[in-house]
Order: sequence, then C-alpha cells, then structure tokens
Amino acid sequence: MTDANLSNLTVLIVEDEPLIAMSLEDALLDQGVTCIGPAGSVSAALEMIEAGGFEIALLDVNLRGERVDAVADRLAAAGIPFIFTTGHGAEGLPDAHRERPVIGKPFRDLDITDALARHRPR
Amino acid sequence: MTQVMEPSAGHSAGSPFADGGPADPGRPIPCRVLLLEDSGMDADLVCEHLKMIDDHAFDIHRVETRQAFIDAIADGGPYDLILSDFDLPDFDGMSALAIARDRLPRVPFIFVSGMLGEENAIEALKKGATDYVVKLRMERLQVVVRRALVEARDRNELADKRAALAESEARLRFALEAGRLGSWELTLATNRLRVSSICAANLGIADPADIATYDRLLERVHPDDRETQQAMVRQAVTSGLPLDMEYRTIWPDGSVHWVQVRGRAVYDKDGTPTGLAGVSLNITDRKRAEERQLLLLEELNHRVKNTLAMVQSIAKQTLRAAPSVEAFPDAFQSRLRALAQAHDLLTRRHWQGASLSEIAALTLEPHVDAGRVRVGGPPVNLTTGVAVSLHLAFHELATNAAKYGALSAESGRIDLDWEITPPAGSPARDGVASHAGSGHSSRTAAGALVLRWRESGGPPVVPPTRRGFGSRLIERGLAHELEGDVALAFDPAGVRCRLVIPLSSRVNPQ
Repeated sequence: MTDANLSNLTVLIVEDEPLIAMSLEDALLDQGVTCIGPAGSVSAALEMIEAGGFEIALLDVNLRGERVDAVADRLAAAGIPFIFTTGHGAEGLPDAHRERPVIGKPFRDLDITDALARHRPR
Repeated sequence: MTQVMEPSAGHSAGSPFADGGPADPGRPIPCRVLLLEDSGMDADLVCEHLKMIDDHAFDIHRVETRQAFIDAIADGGPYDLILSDFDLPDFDGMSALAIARDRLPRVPFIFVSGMLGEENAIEALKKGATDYVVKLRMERLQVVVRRALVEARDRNELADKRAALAESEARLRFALEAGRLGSWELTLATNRLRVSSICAANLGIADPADIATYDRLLERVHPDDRETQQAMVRQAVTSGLPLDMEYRTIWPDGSVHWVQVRGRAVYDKDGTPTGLAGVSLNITDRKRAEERQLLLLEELNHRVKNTLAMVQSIAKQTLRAAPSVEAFPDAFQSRLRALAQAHDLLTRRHWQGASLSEIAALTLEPHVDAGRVRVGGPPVNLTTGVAVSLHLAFHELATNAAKYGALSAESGRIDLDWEITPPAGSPARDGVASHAGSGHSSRTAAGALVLRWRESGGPPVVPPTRRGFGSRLIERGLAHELEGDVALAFDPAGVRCRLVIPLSSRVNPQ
C-alpha cells in the first residue's frame, strides 16, 4: 500500500551500515520513494548534498566513528529537512540540531515512512 | 675539704613526697637495690635505714669491687635503685656513676658517702647522680630514696607514654603513607591550614607551606567546584556531620586531578567549633576509570542497538528473498551465526579490528582443512565494520558454493587470494559486469586491495533469475561501504567475485 504523502519523494540515505541501508531502501522503494545513497561517510554525504536532487534526508548520527554535525549543518543551511536515526539516546545528537526529529534504532518501516510523510516539504 | 652540703632545705620528712607511696599501703612496693659498698658496717647501716621506709620492700644486692659492680649492672638487674659509696679501694664513685648512666640511665643513682666535698657533690649531680647522703646524716636516706623512687616512677611512666605515643604516631604515619592518605587540619579562627606533604602533593604542591591558609587551598580548587567545596566545609562545621566530598584541583602545570576529602569538625569544651581535620586522597585514577566505564557503557548501548538493527535488516531481507517461508529459518539462523562469529573474533581482538586472513579463515576454515579451499595473500588490517561486512560477504559466497557451487561437488575447489596493487594505474578489468561504488575520485590514489574469489570443478553454474540477499549484500552493500568496485560473475565454469578496495585507514597493509 502506497502512502499518498510519499508520492514523488526522493530521499537521501546517510547510513554507514550496509545491511541497515539496504533494509531502508527496501522499505522506501516499496512505498514508491526514490533513494539516493547510501552515503557511508561524512565526505560522501557532503558530496551527495552538493549534487542535490532530493527533498529530505535520513541521517545516521555517527558514521564510522565520525559525528555527522557537518552534514546536519549543511542540510540545515540548504533548508532541506532531515530526520536523525540513531542507536544512541538523544544526547548523541549534534547540539545545534536537538530539535530535529529522531528515530531510534532498531526502527519499524512504519516509523520511517510516517516521519518522512510528516516532515517532507509541503 | 668542706663539709656536707644539704641540697635543699625543704626536703625533709613530711614534705610533699610523703604521699608518693602506692595506693594500697598494705602491699609494699618491691624494690631491688644495687649497693656498691666495701664496708660491711656501712652496708648494714644503709640496710637499717632502708628498712625504715615501710611502704617498700627492699631486696639489696651488695657488691664491693669494680668488676662485681660491672657484672651486676650487666646481668644482675633489673634494679630500681643504685646506692654507691664515693671512695672505694679499687674503684671510685664517679666511675661507677658513669657506667650506671651509660647502661641504666633510668635507674636513680644516689651517693652514700662518709665525706663528700662540695665540689664533688656538684660534679656528681652534674654527671647525673640523683642525689647524695652523707653518712653523718644517714636519717636523710629515707627521704632521699623515697623521693628518688617516686620521681623515677613518674619519669618512667612519662617516658613509657611518650614512647607509646611516638610508636602510635609512627604507625599512623605509616598507615597514612601506605594508603597514600594526606592529612590536614584547619583552624577556623585564623583560617590557618596545616597539610601533610601527601596532602600537598594531591594538589600538585611540593611544599606544604605553600598552602598554609584555606584561601590558598581554594585557589587550587577547580573554579567550577569552588562554591560547592566552600558550602560543604561550612555545612560540616555547622552541622557537625562528617565531611565527605570530591572535587577537582588544578595543578600548577594546568592538569586537572580529583581529590577526595573526608573530615570532621573539632569543638572546644563549650561545643564551639574551632576547626576541621581529616584526610585527603588522590582519586584521579578512579575518576578516570569511572569516566571510561561510562563511555564504554554508552558505546556498548550503541553497539547493541546497531547489532539489533542489523539483525532486523537481515531478517527482513532474508524473508524478502526466501523462496518459501520454510526456507526462512535456516537461512536466517545461518546468517545470525555468521554475525555472531564475527563478533566473537572482534571481541578476542578487543574490537581493534582484524586481519583479512583471520576473516577469510573464519567461515572457510573447515573447507580449508579439507583441502577444498586455498586462501592466501599479504597481511591486511581491517577495521571492525569492514571485517564484519567482509565476513558476511564470504559467508554468502561460501553458503552459495556449498549449495550450488564448487563445494557441492567432490572435485570442486575455491581459490581466495588477494594482493596489494600500487597507486598508479588502475587494474585491468576481467570482462565481467562491474558495479562501481559511490564513485569516489580517490579510489586508487593510495593503492588498492584486489581480492579474488574463484570457484572451479563444481557443476555448471546457472545464473540466478533474480538477485538474492547475498548478491545484493556483495554488489551493493559491500561496494558502497568499501567505496570500491565489486564484480560478481556467475561464470558457467564457476562463480567468480573480484573486489577492488582502495587502501585507507579502514583497509591497510600491515
């Protein structure tokens, strides 16, 4: 069943664990969402933001031991909404972006699609 | 020679010394006396007078010669009193005094002499004689002896107490030093602080005199902890409850250390607090360990959540790719076991990564032992994430080989080898479909690890009609994660997989 709110949506996936990234892609492709990525490192994510072509991003808080503050800053500056995914508690979030939506790992597909529908640009 | 000098007029019977006897008058105090006297008559006279001191029971050991005196001093004790003549045929009183002072410094020594000139008397007292009695006034002996004994007992008691105190202090100091405990004492009225050298060292100060006031101490306390420190000290003084606090201190070199302080207020007779005293302990190591433990717990939580998310992904994708519901449990459990094996290996390596050969051996070991698989290549270090991903990829290849490929036939074999290629020039393609990674320009800037999986001798390979979990994990997941090129080919002669992974801090030759 395709959620109407996810039609014509392109999502950037920033996630360093390939299994989790693949699972995310599966869930989103099932809903007719187009995926960009996954970006597994901060530098890869910044390159993909530079290239553009997506409306919203799913952002793992930690990429191979590196914090994603720089990625969140860039997205915020570009006015692109994003949702954190994290195995840490809320305290692991970048200080400047504590108000952003967070989904804890492990998550249900529904948590992801709901959050994307709610926070995608209108 | 002038005669008879009375040392002090007030010292007569009935003087304050009369009450110096024991508490129980019924039991005379035993008293061993060494008497140096060559004249038997004089000795008897002395004994007569001693017997008149009724609260003591005297046991008199008389010696007449120098040698007998020395022997008695050496072996005949213990004595409570020494009485000595001044002039002896082979000996003299002053020499006897010198020997006694040297060997038995605590035992009172009294001269009892027929004649003793004033100069001799003064000299004798200077050299440590307790007193003297001239034979013409022998009745003084009782007073002099009683006083000497009482004074000696008091002196000995005091000396014993002092020795016990010194010993107890030494024990306390030893315990404090062994426990690396510093001690301190604060006087409230003056704000003076006395600290031991360990206490000063806990604050990074070599000389305790450098923190002689409470204000000087506060200067050493971390600014963020200063207010709390003062409040707790105030509270301990007003409440009378034990002080127990931990605070940070900044050493002169700028480094931050932790100190634990325990103490208690001291009060005067009226109950007014006069000071505070206690101990201090450097707990920096303990604090660091606590911080490390907290970090480890956070890291563990993160790792568990991440692992759960991986298990969830494996479950979803296994289910998605499973040809039937019945096929799910075996495929899922086998992948979970592969994940657990990787974790076991990484735990043995303290999560500091693993070598490529260790990872290759993890799944393939049974087949290597059977001579079906040949593994070889130079040493390569992998970080934990890469190690897990590669292990899961090998597991998929090996499972496929066992079901449909080289390991499903008796004569089949697998060659898994790898090499490091230099930075310049990109390795030649071997004509199979290639799946590029995320297209990083720095792909071969630092050289690359080229890894080949080649199966042979198995049944003819039929390319799958759709990509399963394994193919997807290798072609998409691994290619993305390692930012490398992955070529997986279902060649009729045998499955082949070729990975070209750029060298980095995650994948590096040893």
